[in-house]
Amino acid sequence: MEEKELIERLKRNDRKAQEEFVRKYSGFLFNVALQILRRKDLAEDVAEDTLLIGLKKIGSFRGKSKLSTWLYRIASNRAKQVILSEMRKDALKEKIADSPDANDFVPSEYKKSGKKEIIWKGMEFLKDSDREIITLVDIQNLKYEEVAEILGVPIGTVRSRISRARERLKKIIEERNFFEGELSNK
Amino acid sequence: MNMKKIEELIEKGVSREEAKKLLTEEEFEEFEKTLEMKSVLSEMRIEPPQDMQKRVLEKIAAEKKRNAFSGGRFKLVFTVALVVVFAGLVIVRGFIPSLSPLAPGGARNRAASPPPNTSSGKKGVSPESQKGLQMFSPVVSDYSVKVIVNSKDAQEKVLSVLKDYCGETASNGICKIDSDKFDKLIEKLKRYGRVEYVEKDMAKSGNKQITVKVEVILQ
Repeated sequence: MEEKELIERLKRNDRKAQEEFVRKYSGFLFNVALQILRRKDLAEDVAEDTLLIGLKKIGSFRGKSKLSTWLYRIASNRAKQVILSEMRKDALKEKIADSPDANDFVPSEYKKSGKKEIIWKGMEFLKDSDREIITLVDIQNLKYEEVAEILGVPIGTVRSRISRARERLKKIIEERNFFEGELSNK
Repeated sequence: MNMKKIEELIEKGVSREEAKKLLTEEEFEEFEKTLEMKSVLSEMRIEPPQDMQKRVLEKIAAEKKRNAFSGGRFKLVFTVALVVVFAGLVIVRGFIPSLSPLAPGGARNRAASPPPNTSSGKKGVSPESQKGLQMFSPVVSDYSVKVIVNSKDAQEKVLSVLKDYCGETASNGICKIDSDKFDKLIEKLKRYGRVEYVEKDMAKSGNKQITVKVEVILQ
């Protein structure tokens, strides 16, 4: 279903369109929220809320941007609200970094692969803006054009930001022996 | 080391072999590291819990149902209220003769009865009870009468009756008449047309002479 048609049908409360909308965007929103909140349970809540808000407010969506851009903004704002209202950002970060139970926050999917776990923990030390761009470009695999639209910046800025963010992440994970073994075998 | 060049090659999706030709050894090592990191990052997308999608759809369906119900309930309440108001109007206006203002003995025609404290002294409220009434509602002694006639002839006759009873005062539609003659006037008017509307206008109790506004309508 084309995005335009999907939007029209959503505005008519079409059940099939709602199912497709939820199927199509739940993963995107969940992963965006996960990288902001660093906790699966909170990310699930935010993704769910965002989908519900999206479905309820679709009537006010004027189609000036892509649906994913609109939803990203809702999710991002919602996640920030959650950080502020439920645990305060600093307290959360402190808890993740210093708590002996920090591993509780590593999603089980990453624990199976050492490299994913290293990256997950490494991303914790990045700035929010670096983590945001890596999430959109490398985890969500969006095109630079789409990321530029979502973030409201020129493509050139996306290029320079992702380059710098990758560089910083590379340095962090290098210290944790991320590249050992794999590259030396090549 | 030219990081911009490395990023450009990654963005273009250049293969390892090709990149090796285009980059220095050091640059190529960075290129490989970036690719490796990108490859792991691309696999870090986690599928959301299965029941999340189901939950969202259920919530939306429940909300839709709730809205439909409250909307339906509103319509029902509105319709019932409308029916009640309409039924009330129908009852008051004439379906139940005893309550009809136009029916004999009905609310409006009761107003056409001779005013109390008149010389006839047979109808109306006694002076004592009238005093009581005055305390709660104004006693009306001015009247407004509508006579609906079907023909020119009947209209002429009505005007003639008015002239007989009210004299010259009938010419401007205002009839000044002794209160004891009011009943008779109404009776006579009813002979030639339908006296549809008799209404008390304002309070002037105890007057021997009353003022009646008369309107003759030819249909």
